Amino acid sequence: MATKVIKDRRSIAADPSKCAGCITCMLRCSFRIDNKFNLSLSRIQVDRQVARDNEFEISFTADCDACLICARYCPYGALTATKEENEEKTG
Amino acid sequence: MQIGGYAGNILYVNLTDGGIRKQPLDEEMVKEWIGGAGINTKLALELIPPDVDALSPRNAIILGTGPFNGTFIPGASQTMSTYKSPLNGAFPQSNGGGNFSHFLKSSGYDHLVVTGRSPWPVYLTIEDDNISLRHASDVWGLDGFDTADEIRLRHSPCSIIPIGIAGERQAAISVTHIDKGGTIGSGGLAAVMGSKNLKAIVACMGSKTIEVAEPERLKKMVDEILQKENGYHLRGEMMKGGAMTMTRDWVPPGIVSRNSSELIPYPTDMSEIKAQLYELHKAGRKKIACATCPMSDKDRIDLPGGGSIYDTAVFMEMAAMTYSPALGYTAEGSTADRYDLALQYYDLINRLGLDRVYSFQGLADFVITLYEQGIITRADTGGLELDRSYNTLLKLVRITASREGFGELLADGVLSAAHRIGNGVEEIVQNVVKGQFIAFDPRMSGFLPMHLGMLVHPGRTLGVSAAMGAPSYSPGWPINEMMKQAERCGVPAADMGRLFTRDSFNLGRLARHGEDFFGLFNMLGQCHRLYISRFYSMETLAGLYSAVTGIKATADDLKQASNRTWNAWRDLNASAGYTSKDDQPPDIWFKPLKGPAQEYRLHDYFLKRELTKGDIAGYLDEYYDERARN
Repeated sequence: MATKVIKDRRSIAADPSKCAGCITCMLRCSFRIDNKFNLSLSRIQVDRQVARDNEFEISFTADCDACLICARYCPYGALTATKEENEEKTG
Repeated sequence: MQIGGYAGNILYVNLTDGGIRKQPLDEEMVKEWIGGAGINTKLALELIPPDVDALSPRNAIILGTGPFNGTFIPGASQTMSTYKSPLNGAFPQSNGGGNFSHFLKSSGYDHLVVTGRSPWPVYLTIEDDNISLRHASDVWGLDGFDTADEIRLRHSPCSIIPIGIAGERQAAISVTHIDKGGTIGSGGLAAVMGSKNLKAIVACMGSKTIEVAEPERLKKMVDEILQKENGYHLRGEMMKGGAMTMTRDWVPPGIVSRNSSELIPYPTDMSEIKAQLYELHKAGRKKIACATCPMSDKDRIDLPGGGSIYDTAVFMEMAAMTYSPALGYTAEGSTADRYDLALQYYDLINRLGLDRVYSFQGLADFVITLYEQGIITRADTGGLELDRSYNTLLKLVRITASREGFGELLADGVLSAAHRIGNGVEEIVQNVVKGQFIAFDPRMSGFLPMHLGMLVHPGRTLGVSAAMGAPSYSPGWPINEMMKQAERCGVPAADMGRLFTRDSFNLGRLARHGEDFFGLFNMLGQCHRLYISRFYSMETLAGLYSAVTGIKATADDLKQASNRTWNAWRDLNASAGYTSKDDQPPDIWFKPLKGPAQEYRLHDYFLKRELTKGDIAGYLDEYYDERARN
């Protein structure tokens, strides 16, 4: 099931079926906050779901401001910036 | 710790008395040995008595990360394991991926040292300062993957190194997987864990921070690497096929069998079948990636009949295994059915935890050959008929992992099995060096730098890594391509003339430089698979190292550090009794390999000149001479 975070006019759509579990998004997120790496402070969390035979679960914390850094660096297309963000960029 | 990229501590756990100790990482040691394989080797020299019984409480399991782990450097996923091996008494260096290195550092530890023996089965959980030894009696007896699933339910988010049945039974040819994907511990890490009553090591997500010295520089460098990776011409296809994309055409004319004496051909033309297998693989595959890996070579494959299997990377030759009369043959079945069977074999051997590539496959062929020749009979095998069929192969996996019946004789590897069979069988074992099989027969491929690594070093991972990248995995590359590779691997310009002629190269001397380069990956925590390492050079590694740590290091500085680690590792294994006498190539390499259409003889890299024992001795002498240089 896709997860969506919308802040202002920016949004991130998450497609766990495409996630490979590389946690690049978590590292990028925490690094963006203060130029340091801290998995527990990442505002996006990726975890393995045992019950679904290691499908990944993607969630966002309440303080995610949809900066889109995770979507920008996701190697697998599991996180995408949606239309609102594009409009803002071009508008 | 003032140096960037490190969590700052070594965690010591004594399973005998439950003692836990956290020791700050020494900055001088970090500067000299960097991390991963470097610091692991230094710790092993100090902590593991060279004459210790590998399965005794005095052996230590050392897991090490490097300064790249915990950052977003692409491919910075590797955990390095060091221990005394129950298979050959040496000290392997075996690395694996998954997320373990990142999670261990998130709790504030760069290295973990486990000693002693628990009085009862336990698993170790690490979460910041909460280090717990938990009762494992309810997961003891589960296979490695079921153990990982059960523990994940209790401790997620976490990364898990479990052991399967083979580890519990202390089989010397056992191996295990990080997060059900990254193979680690060739040479019996799982058996050492089993001997300590340690069912799993669990790194939970901690709260600690990894700082780097120059964040903006690091970001810029990583962006440049990602740009190259995203532009890699095979990346799009790899997203579908994983590692099989690289091996999709790789089905040799036959399988080297019967104690490495014969090439048994496929009875069928494999060209169309290969294409079908590749499509089946892609259709059923879900991408799994180690931490920070943009290439996703781990496979989770849905089975047509339901369920799914995991593997570190399915290669075409193994996908086609049931077509080969050499081992695992099935007479009938559609391509889909046969691929399903191959995957079930992978699944079983991975779950139970046997080292397929460097031990089990060769061992199975060896005992089947003895049976075919009448050297052993049903009286020896407990009534089991040893043929080359799929069902027999599965039976051998099960009894070996569980040490059941005839399997008790097999569980400690081919040399142990031959010794116990007796009747001079020890003398006929072929293609085995330092207790493990040479997985890629050089009579088929030509003598490559990686073969020299396999002769010299106990433990196959670094043997393979000693190759000089892509050109040296396949023979006959143009010399100018080899020279480019050498430059990328940090061979000084002043040395190029010594290592290369216009149309050839000095294999023994060049291998040392390949080791220096790929050894650094093992010290930094970096994956050295071809589709990752190809985007790095010695200069790139030095730049990243400086940006992460703040230590101004040149490519030459890192090369020196790698050389120091290789020599220390050599000293470590020398202390366990290994000398250059153990580097001797197997006799069978100098006998023709009989194939259906031709004979294969050992040739040089360019497949032009047949090699003698004297030639290999020359390569070894030149390798050691080059290794002794600064």
